[in-house]
Amino acid sequence: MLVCVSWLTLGAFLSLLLRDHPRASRAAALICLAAGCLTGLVPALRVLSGAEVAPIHLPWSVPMGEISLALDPLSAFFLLPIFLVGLAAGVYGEGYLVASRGHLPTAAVRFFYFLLTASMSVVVCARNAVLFLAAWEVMALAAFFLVCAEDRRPEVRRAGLIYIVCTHTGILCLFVLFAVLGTRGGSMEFSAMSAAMPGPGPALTGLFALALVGFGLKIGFAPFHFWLPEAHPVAPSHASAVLSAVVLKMGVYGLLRFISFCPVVPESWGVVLLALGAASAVLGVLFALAQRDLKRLLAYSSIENVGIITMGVGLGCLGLSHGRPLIAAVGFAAALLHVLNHSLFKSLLFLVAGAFAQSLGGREIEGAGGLLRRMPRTSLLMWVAAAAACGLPPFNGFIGEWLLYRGLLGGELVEGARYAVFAAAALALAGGLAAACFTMACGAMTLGEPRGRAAGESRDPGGLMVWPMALLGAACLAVGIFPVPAALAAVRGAAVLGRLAPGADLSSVDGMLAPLAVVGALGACVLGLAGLFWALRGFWLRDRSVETQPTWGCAFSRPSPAMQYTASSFAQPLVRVFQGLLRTQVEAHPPSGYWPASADFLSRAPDPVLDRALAPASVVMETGLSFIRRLQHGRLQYYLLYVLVFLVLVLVWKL
Amino acid sequence: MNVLAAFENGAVLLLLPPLLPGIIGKTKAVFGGRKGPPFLQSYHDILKLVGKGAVYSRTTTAMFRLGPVLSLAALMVAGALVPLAHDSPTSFPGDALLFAYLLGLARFATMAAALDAGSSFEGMGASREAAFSSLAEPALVLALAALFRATGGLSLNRMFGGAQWSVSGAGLVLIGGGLFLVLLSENSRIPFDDPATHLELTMIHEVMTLDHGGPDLAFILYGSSLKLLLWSSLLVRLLVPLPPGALGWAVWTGGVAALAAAVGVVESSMARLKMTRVPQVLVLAVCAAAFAVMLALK
Amino acid sequence: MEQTAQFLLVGTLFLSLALLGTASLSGCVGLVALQGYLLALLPLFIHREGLTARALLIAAGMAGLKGWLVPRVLLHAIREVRIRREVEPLVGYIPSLLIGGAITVVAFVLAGRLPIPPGLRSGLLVPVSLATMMMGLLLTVSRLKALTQVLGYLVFENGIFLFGLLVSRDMPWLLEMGVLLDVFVAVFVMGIVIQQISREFDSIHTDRLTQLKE
Repeated sequence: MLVCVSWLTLGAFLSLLLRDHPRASRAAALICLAAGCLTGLVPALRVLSGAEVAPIHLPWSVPMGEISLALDPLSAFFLLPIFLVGLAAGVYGEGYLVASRGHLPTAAVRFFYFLLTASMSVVVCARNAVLFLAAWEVMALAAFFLVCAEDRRPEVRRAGLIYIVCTHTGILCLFVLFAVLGTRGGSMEFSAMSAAMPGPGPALTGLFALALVGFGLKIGFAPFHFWLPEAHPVAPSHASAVLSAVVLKMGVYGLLRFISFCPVVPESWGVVLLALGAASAVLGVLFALAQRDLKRLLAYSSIENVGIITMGVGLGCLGLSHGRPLIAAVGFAAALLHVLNHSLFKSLLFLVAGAFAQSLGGREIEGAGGLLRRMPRTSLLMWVAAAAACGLPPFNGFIGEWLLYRGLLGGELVEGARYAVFAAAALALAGGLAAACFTMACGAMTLGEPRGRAAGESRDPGGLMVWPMALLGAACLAVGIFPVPAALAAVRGAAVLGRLAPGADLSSVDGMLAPLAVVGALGACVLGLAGLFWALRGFWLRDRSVETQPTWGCAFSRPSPAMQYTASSFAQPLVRVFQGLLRTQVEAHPPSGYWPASADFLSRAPDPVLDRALAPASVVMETGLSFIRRLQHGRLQYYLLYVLVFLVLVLVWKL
Repeated sequence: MNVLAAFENGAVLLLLPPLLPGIIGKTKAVFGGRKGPPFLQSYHDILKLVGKGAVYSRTTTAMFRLGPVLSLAALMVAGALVPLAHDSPTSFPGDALLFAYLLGLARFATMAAALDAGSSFEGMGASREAAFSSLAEPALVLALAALFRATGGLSLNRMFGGAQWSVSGAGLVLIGGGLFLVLLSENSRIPFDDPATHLELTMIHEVMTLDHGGPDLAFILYGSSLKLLLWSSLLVRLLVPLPPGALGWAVWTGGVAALAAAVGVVESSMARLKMTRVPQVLVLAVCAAAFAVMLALK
Repeated sequence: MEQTAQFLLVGTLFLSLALLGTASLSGCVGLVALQGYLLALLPLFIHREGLTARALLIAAGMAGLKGWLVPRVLLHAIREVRIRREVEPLVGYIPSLLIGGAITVVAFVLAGRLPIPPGLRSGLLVPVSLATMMMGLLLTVSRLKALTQVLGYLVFENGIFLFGLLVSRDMPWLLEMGVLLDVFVAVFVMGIVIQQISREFDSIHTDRLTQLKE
């Protein structure tokens, strides 16, 4: 474990040292990345297959701090996305940095990328609160510098500001949380936290609220999601992939670790998490549907997916509070599985978006079109990832959702918690909307005719970018068809939280997982049957006439690419149905007169939290608090006076 | 589950589907005072299309050709999960959700193929299909939840294991009504969509397949009749208790035929809804299913 | 018996839901009439003693008033006042339906917490009654026309009637007759009011009533 972290840190510093030697630094970066991620994966996989890894304790000069690292199945499970996605996105990033031709500060991006990966692996392994918070802070700052890589553009600076404010609000909550726990328990070691947990009552609720806000601001479920669609789109694409696919999951890890401290889990936690998750799932995908910027769309879709994960966590909490270890295991396992699956397909989608953005020169969905013909490999991988994101079999997205449905509908919950079945309806709605959203995005971008010159001239990127994407796509399919190992690993991870007796109860969970093998096999059947029909079709058509003609346009003889259905029109029926929630703003000048010369249409979907609540609130605060500005006028004497007055006040108060 | 039963199920699944559009067509003809096409018309259509060559749009790519193939494959696997007169041999707890998502995959493939033609018509159809199906999805899942609560099983075999009118009649009516609405919407029938219309602007499913021809269209036609059969079988098993053995097949066939005739009656007696009204009816179906869940939870 | 009562109750609730999603005014009146008939049948099936003279009388009264007379009056009003045939909701149809669904869930949850007298025949009576009342209120507040407000009021009254059935064995005549009379008077008054408003203002929109505040 330490070896892996040191490889990654070495990579970070090498990329700084070698910044004047592009070839050497790229080679060094690739070697360090591969070595770091692969050495990191080995212990993770060993722990997930049941082995034990000895914890590490090293003294640290920081007060109350100790470098104590350990790997239990929960940590090991989170290492999988960190290293898998980290490796794929990192290799892709090398190609991306070359292809960006100096738009990006290469050495800095590399440095912070390594730092981000290394700090995340420390976050999940840390067993000491001080170490955890330090790694968390390094992770947040590295992510901030990645978001601000293109800091010349004003919208990037705005996004970076929003991100840093949010992440530090979250960290503030976490500081308070761990400070309280640490003082109660007398030690910052995680092993002492469980004993420090107060019994049910206001104190426990307060701690949960702190954890919910602190980790929630990282996870990005509603209403803490608003920074995500700002920050993720502006980062370099391989960094966005890691931010969206992995960094968000660190919040999930933190929340799960917090829950594992709690000897009792009140029912209300489960209800709150389930409700927040269901709301984020539906709202996230609805807002995704209203976006016209591919990376913003993907960011909103991440909100949907963390919503699904949060629902899983909520279900697990309900299971714990009702004393149903089986349901708890299924809920947490579903959340973990979806953590892995989402990280695979969402990172792939962001990488694809990066390849598209580089060849098109922009992230707009409407400007593309016909890319399947021009960039066949990238576009095909986009469809694979999209199908996975919609939760369709035979891809991996379905596996986690299936398990979650199984737990929600499963009927083991009683009393008030039995209303959890309605969350399944939200999940189904989100699934249907996701299908609409991704057919819209992929259809408008990759199918039909190109809507602009850039789209017509685009080409697939080089191998350094395509191969990592292909690896992720293959992983999506592999987990979808052979889901059992991943599911077993997730159950092992969930067992840490459910406090299941390792032997006896796991077998009953195994009974619940047994159908997953069939699900995978049937998924393979779909592919096999499709191959069979494809061959049959070829056989039927082998010596018949197969012609090509223009698309039928209702006898209109001169169709143009501009006549195609756009993404906005595709989304219109759903946007209209949910207008009350979305409140899209439309500026349109429809064509008028007999010989209309020009027409335009612009639609925007402002974020309900950021644009409708926080921005006006901050304006009010600014005007309301402007009198304080009078205190700051630049005269040294007055500042000294403030210090004096403050000191006197403190003295008066203390004595 | 013996081999013979599985074989019977498979044979029915492969051979019966194109009969249903025939029954619907005949019912509509009777209501319209016409003689109408023969019952076996769909078989003729499909065989004729299989024998034809193909014309493709210049815009299209492999996605256009893959759509019908993948869609039919997904529907076939979904069919393997659905109990007909015999229980399905491949059933397992939780297969109901796989069934729902396989239908989703079929729809996804069809929509992708439709968008590949680059025509506004196909885009419009795909857009409507996406919108309406995403609203029908919660109705289906809630109906499944209610059925699970009523029967205690998560497999289609158990959930649709025979009507229990004596236990929960009202709930059964609600679930049946909700699922019938979903059936009509999923299979693009009146009042949601008019399969017989001639104006592209008002179509949903038909307009997505405008540019398909030859064997591809045969796959699509066969697939949509298969989908109708699967839904009908589920509804029949939900509402009618099936006796075992050969009598079961007779009741099942009668039920499915009656359901097809019922669809025909609905089509003859109703006009299609305005597009803006379709979501309302689907939300009503969701409410019905939610109500059934509440009844089952009590 | 139990099964039939359950069917009737489910039907009642479903009609209220359908009412929230119906656009045409006369369609709404038809649905309310149908609900009246369903409710009229209910007293015959809900109690253990079955067909008593009293139950028959209530049933006949309900059917006559709510199934036949009131809808006739309302349809007459639609024809006479030449109201536009659409409902004109303040809250759209789909949101109303969704709120209706949420109301149903809330009603069931609330009914589970109410202290219900033992020996009750159908467990559905209380939640359906609560949900019907709330949906009636929703209809009253979310629609623009005075006529739809009458309809909402009627649905609300139907909910109260259901609640009345719950206690009707313990309380003699007064309650039922009171409810029926109440409705009748209400419709009567509302009918007159609609006539008056439309004569004075050439419109039956209640929001025009705000002009009266000066």
